[in-house]
Amino acid sequence: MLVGDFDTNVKMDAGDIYLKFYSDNFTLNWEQASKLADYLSHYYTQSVLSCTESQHKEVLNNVSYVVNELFENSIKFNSASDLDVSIQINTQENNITLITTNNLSKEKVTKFAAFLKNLLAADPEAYLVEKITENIEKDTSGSGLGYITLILNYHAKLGFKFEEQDNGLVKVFTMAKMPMISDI
Amino acid sequence: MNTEIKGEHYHVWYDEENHSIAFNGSLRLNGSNSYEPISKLLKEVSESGIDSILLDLRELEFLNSSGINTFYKFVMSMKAKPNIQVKVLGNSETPWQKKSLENMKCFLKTIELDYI
Repeated sequence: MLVGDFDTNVKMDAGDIYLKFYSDNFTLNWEQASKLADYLSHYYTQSVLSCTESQHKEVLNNVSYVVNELFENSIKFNSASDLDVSIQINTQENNITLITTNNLSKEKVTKFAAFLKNLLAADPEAYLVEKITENIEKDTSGSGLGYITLILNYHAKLGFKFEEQDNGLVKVFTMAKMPMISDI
Repeated sequence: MNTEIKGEHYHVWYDEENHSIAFNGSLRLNGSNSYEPISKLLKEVSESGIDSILLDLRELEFLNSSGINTFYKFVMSMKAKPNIQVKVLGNSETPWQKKSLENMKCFLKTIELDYI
């Protein structure tokens, strides 16, 4: 099942990265997620040639933000007791495509797919105001703002693919495609 | 009121003289619960009888979506306190700020947003 703008034709190219986190009692802590996001953002600033200092800063921020948000979600919402998440990054000209994977139970997938359809059909600004109002009223532990901030503030296109696995879980692919520099 | 919050990568403190809460470093904490001390500080300052409050974000280099949620919720909650002028001072050279602070005008039309 596909939801949103999921590009099934993304291919690995020279310089692209694919990281898989194997399980076997390995526990990734929160700090490591942001350190990984920072490392990948520094790596990718090297692939954007001839940019000004201000654009360099923007690439660092943009890549770090999208990796951090999607990777945080992969860890937070992984149903498998083992980690088993992966990150794939492709760049083409000014754009970055990030795909993370994690595993969800079928019940959680139903809820998640409904949440996504609501998000992707909404007016982004109105959705944001509604979400903040809800966060104040319900005092929720998660902000639910990761995706909407990517759409509104980073001009990201989001897509999702769901694949049933033999172990009864569903593998979820989350794709974000966005410019590394907004002004080009 | 605890007027200072320090973490490994960040420092937040309240300057009583200028009614400003300054943020320094990088905030990428795990969920709303982790931002509770900062939410609490913002709320306590807003309830301390002042007529204006300044969020000084010039030195805040990075903020994750849970942190953005903390600021947005605070700004929206200040609609109920129209006697307090909310000001935000950001840095136009810090990319997350150029992208994220303007949205605050959706939550509080009277907010003053300035950049260095």
